[in-house]
Amino acid sequence: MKKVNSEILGDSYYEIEHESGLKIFVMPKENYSSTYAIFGTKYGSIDNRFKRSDKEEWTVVPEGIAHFLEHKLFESEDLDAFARYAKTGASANAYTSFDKTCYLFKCSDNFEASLEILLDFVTHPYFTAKTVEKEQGIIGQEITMYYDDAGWMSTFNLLKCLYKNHPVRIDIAGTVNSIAQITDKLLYDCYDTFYNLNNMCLAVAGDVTPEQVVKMCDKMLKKAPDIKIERSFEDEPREIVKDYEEYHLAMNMPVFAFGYKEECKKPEQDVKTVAETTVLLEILAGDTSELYNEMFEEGLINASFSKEYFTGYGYEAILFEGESENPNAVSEKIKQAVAKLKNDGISQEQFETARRSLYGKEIMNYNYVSYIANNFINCEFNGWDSIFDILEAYKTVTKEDIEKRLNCVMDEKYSALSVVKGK
Amino acid sequence: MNYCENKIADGISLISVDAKHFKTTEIAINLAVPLGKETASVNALVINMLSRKNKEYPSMAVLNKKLAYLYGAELSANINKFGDCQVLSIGASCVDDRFSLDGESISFECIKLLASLILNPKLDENGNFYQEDIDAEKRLLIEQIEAENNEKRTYVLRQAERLMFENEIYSTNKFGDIENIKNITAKQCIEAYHKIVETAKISIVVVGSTDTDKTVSYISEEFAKIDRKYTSLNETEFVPCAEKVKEKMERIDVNQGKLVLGFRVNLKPEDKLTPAMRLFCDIFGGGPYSKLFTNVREKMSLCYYCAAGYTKLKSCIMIQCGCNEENMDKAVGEILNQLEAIKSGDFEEEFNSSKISVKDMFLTFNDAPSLLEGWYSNQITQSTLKTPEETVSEIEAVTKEQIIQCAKLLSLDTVYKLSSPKEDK
Repeated sequence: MKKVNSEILGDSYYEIEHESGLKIFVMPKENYSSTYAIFGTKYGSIDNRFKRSDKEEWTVVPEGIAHFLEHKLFESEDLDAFARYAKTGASANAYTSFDKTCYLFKCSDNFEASLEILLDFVTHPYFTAKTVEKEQGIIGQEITMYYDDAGWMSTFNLLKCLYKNHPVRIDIAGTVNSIAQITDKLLYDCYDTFYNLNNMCLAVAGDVTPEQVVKMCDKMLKKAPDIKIERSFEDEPREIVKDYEEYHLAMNMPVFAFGYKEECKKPEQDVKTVAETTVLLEILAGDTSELYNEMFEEGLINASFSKEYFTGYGYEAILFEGESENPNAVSEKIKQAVAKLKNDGISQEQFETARRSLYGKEIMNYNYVSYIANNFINCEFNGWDSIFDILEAYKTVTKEDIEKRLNCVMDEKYSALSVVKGK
Repeated sequence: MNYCENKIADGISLISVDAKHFKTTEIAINLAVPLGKETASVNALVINMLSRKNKEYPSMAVLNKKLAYLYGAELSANINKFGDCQVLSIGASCVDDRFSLDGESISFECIKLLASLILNPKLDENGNFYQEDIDAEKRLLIEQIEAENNEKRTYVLRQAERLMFENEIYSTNKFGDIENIKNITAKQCIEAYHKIVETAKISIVVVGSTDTDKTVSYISEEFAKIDRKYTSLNETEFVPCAEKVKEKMERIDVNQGKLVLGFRVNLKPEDKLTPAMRLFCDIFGGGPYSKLFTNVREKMSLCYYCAAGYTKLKSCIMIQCGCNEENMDKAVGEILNQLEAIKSGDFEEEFNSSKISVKDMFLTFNDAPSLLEGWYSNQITQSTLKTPEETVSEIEAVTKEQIIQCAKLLSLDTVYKLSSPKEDK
């Protein structure tokens, strides 16, 4: 068991390599009365093609299967997981993203009983042809719901503009057709590959001790076979697919997503690159920037405007999203501001303002046990050393680092705009 | 966690929750005024405008720079509807003073800033808001309403409320309405501003490790400058029962249908039975153990989501469903069946699950400073404050007989359906 401290925050956590193969993080929070636990696998919607180190052949599976599996894991032969949590009072949930699937609960009481449920149902799959068929109907409805969600549609249409082959371009839940191809056998193939404890992580924060967590893991988890997983994606060209997409819904206020596809030189980004890019975006389009304030005053954007360094295994992009009566003007403004910043350089004041603001905001996040626990999972799956690294990186990053980064990113040639508006 | 309430002036109180273990201080200034068809738009516009700039920080860019300097302090204006009251708020969240790199008190700076945004607006030489600021805010407020309409789940709920409460003040949208907003004048803005600060019930909530005495004396001094003409808020109009069921089908181009059921609840907000009603609502359509989730969604697959929400102050329960048109009538029937099941006492397991889960949920509020701030801010229209722990004890005392009693107080008022045009089918 390793203890890691942050002097800035006054917080510490424990990192444990459990003998089952599972990586565990625990952050006890003094004076807290609730606890948040999350159990995740590094397996998301992009993992459609993989090979296990103990097998010869590659497996290719239908789009949306990771999300489907997430739904199905809640079921068992007798009581489903929700019915079991109903006896402990914990409030439970799960989510699937591009590169991970996570199961979580939060509670103020009966923590150990709830942790036992979490560890148990995630490690005990139960699927039959009949239960798979029933779920196809339910997920089909969920997929349809997203087709009415303007924000969701604009993001995914943008990713389809930027990416030709990489599976980040496909919907996380798949399509009604793709999930129709899912069988219980395929679910077990994916489960056996990715729900191996060596590919998973458990993080707990709040009113908890590391001993409580380890004791429950000792009781519930068996040693997992040591297999490695190879991921393979078709080569993604540097070029984008197209630079504009429009989709129509019954609505008045248009929603947009504008983004730059970045060159992904290595599959995963280190913490320094993430910190640099985050500071850069704050300088370019944060609420103290010229760009943000001008667009706001000109009536082009409102408080829904956001920016994001969007990165995961084999993909890297910079996204700007929001609502606007004139999305084209917004994308033009952003392009001009990027060109201007590249030309003029970054002032010391811009740099310090952005850094100070991000530093404070990151500290504020540590109030929330949900943020802390989710952050452990993100950092572990990204291969970062510690969740505290990003705070350190904000302290040590220099203006020159940011300028260097600026010159490598946001090339107009690789940008696209996606708009969702009324019919 | 304990709070301390200081009466500062007529209708103004400061509620502070002393919590030293958080990383932040959360502050909100809340102003409650009567909800009115004529005033909702201009009130909403004014509070948004106040949050953008003031005399000292005369542009958004300057104000944002100040916030960034305060280590990324976050500022937001909020508009809510609690019964027949419109609650206008400006809130801030900032890092605790111990993280300051130069020894400055960040939280006190934020309290000063918030008070100043409310009390020292940016006005022109005639004492009016600048026309350009009003125009900019009109655009933003209209966009806020449009954005809500973009979300079909919120949209259909608003439409159902509009139909259900059509002859009551409560049908007023908390942001006002687009036509009204377009016609707002500078004169209306400044009049609304004075009326808000002079007559609103004001509660200032601070959660964190600030020096309460210093805050109280500062706030008292600042707010004493207002010439207060406080009158207490009116009670929300109470309609105990539905007369007949109103039904409407709206057809717009959507991929998934939506269904809303509005029930009147024959129970006044101050009644002793309200904790039981809260629990009843959770048993009916709250958690994944609820009647609606396990039966209408899971067993019968009639809806993708099906959830009930109790609005104590308006004495109503609204049920929202994601539902295809062909299942809508069946879903309505099944929702009513589940209500009958509760009336007949069939909810043993759900009762226990709900009690333990609702209790657990309330206690997690104590660990999230922003939720704790919201907890106290949202009680602005109530005469006495409750802690999350007190609410938990009330929930614990609820009996099964009371749940049955609650179920019998519901009457179906409105069924609102949203689906795509028929020719598309």
